[in-house]
Amino acid sequence: MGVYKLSTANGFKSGSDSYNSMLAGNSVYDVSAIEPIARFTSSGSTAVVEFAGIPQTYRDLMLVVYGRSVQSVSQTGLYVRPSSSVYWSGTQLYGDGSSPGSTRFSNNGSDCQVGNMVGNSATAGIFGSSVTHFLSYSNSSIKKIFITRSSTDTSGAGFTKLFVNSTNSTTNITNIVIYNDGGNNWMANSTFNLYGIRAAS
Amino acid sequence: MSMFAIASQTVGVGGAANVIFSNIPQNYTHLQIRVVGRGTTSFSPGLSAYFQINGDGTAANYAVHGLFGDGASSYASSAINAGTMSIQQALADSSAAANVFGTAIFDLLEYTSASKNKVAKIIGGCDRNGSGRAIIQSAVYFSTAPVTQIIVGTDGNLVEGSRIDLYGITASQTVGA
Repeated sequence: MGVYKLSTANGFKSGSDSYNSMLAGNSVYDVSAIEPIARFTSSGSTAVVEFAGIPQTYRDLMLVVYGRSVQSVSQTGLYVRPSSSVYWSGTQLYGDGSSPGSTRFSNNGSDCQVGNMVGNSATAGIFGSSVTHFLSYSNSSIKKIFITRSSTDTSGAGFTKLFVNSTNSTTNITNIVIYNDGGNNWMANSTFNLYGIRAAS
Repeated sequence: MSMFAIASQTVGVGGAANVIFSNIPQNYTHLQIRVVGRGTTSFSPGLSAYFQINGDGTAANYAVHGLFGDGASSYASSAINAGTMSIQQALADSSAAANVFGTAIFDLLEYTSASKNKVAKIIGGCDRNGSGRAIIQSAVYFSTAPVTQIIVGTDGNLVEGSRIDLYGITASQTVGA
């Protein structure tokens, strides 16, 4: 959209000034650093969610998942695969309600676990939640790093997890694929929200 | 509630001892600092990210507690007289493979309060494809002074390409539930 300033305080000006929005140049208006990029809500028939063609204009990405698998289990893994043709690895710290623990995986060319979600044997209406930060996703000098806090609590079972993951590639992240254990469908009303986080100009 | 970018710094050629955010605006409710960093010191568990408040290096004014996962086991640590707020073992060290960096996300709540000591919650870590850490850390700065400056550093210098971004988070103007 083009916005053209045609006047001054004293009347019409010669020529025009062009702006990219009605609020450009407004010193009082402050643009939020977090901007929604895309959103998907499952109808119950989607196993793999993909955000493709991700704009490369932000500093970081943030992915918020509120989901439940149709698989009849209490807990299921959450997998987030940014980009392709790379290897992923990860280190996790978790608590399961009785003890803390830590595991890792490395050199995995197929899957990249970032947390847990709830399965369909949990009480109806309970979903799992996760927030994943993809830092410097558009910086081609850094191997990609992403960090996830995920939480699943079904009153008697659950996990709280922190996952730190990385790729073996400096290639920018242009698409993200999201799925659960076994590639089962996401329950209806599972939501997936992708945000861009700007740096200060 | 919304988040606004206050300042961004990327370390240039030759590296830098630290990154300084001064004259932090006092019109937000909380602050967040997002770090992608690597240091020049060699220590394979990883390097700390340090956050010094208002130029105060008095050791007794800081304490930290952390929960760590190293890929095989979890453990906890704490320190009083810590000297700075920090998250330990979160950034990549000089022995990490090329282009590997670590990360820390530092949340400082109610930084402008003149009646509360300052507490930060921090998550971070570095995964090196076979080694690394995932960390949850808390830190306290025993001072009720509003925060106007934060110095961010690591063990040794920050290498070129390290970036630190400061954000302000506003509260809602709506009063009540």
